[in-house]
Amino acid sequence: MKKLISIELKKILPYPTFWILLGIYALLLFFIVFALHQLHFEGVLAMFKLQSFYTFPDIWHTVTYIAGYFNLLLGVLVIILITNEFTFRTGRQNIIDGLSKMDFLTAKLFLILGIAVVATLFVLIIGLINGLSQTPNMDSSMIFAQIDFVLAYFVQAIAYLCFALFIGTLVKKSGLAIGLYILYSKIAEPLVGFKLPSYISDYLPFHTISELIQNPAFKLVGLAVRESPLGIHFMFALIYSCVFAIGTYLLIAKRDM
Amino acid sequence: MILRVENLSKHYGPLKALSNLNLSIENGCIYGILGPNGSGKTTTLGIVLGVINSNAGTYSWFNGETGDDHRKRIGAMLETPNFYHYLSAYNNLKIAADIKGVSHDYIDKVLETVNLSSRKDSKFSAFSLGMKQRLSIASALLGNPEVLVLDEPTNGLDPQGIAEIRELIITIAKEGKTIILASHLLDEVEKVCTHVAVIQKGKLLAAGSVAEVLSGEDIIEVGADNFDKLEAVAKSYPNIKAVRKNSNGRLEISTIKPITAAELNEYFYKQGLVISHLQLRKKSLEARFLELTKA
Repeated sequence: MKKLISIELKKILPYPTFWILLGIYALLLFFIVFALHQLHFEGVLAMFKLQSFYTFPDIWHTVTYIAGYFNLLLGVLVIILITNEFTFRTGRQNIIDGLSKMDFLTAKLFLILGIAVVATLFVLIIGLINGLSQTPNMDSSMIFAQIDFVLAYFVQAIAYLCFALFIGTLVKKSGLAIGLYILYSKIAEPLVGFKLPSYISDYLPFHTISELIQNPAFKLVGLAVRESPLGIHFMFALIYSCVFAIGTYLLIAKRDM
Repeated sequence: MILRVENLSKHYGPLKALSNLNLSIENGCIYGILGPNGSGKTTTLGIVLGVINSNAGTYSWFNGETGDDHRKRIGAMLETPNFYHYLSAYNNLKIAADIKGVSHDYIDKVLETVNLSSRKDSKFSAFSLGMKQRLSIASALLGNPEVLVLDEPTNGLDPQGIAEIRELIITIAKEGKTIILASHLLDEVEKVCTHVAVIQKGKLLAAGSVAEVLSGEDIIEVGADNFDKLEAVAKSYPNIKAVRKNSNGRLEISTIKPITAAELNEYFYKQGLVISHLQLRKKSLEARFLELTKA
């Protein structure tokens, strides 16, 4: 296990694209969280006070929801890393050199876990910076009151990345896989979902994974927003992650490398 | 027994890439798998190296090992050199060494062996085809494996590179290692290998020692004014194996035991036949190969 992680690190740490995409993720998230805070509404919209979104414990909901948009970038990163293994046939060479196909997949799941951990830590740091600087009279119970959103974000990232791994393995070409990833998540599934009854459409992969953390801005207009993300969507995100991982394994096992 | 392959079959849709292939490769030989392009050489090696799934048949390495771990004891390159394009030669070999579970100390040694030491920190993407090919041989040599599997190792190399690689293969074989070499070049197999299997369209045509399979037999071409008599007399020769009229209107004679042109001439003379043409020809390996792969 340690060996698989060490091999995976040797593949990605010297890879410029890895750092560029992680860097874009971090910078965009950092600046957008701050930029939204600077918004000031006037006139009739002045009732929308964003200040409360940046204090503990609400900051956790805010920052994890915004970070959810940038999972797309992490997905692109995973697609590039997995399709490289097919394009340059290095995955094939890994097997020839002695990895089993299961080892190969396990290493990629560690990779996903690692990227999700890094992203979640970053979200945690941004949340702490904002919360600590914006919250008056806080105590530790306030800080950690809604920390379960961070756990939800971690699972959400894993689910997105498992889907990216599956798509990348399925089509093997990075451009095509990224196109499909975006097409499916942003267009195909919402369109299909629109036609289906809600008890089905609510549980389609992307819908249920993104519903894990609902838009906190709905609170502004008085809509009900789930205060805990650890419900049925959380469970479904975990189930979908397993389904995509198993699907990826079946593709690798059944196909010629 | 290093590798045993039994009844291996593989099809890609309707195309039969391999049908019922059987091979057994003994310890210590240089085993050539010879066949034209598209004959199933890479498919065979891909299957026994675990990257292509067969439709039927079995294989086992090292007296009956199946599974995945035995591949760590095999150094193999298949078709193209496969490396991370953004990593240096050295870092690429670090990954291969980790997978095989061998020390990084081997890396400098194998780079030395293939003459790439001076370029070990260059990125793989900056390598010429010949250098890439040599790097994949270096990678196969990591950890001093018992068996080397080389698929067209001289492909894309210049004549000097080809000579170097062949030299290298022979040197390695002298250390007692088993080498399995796929090639479409008859000349290469003849120069390097001790044993050979000839495959064509996924079928095994012949297998055995190079001397047995590719031995060129002598042919004597004879011409005479009276062709019918020539043919009759030739057929009466005790040592005869086959006679055949060729396109020049002459007779090609092959014998069971080797004879000299003089012996044959003497025989004809004693039978009262004057010969106008007599020539001893070695049947070329190419002719033998074409004969094997024809039909």
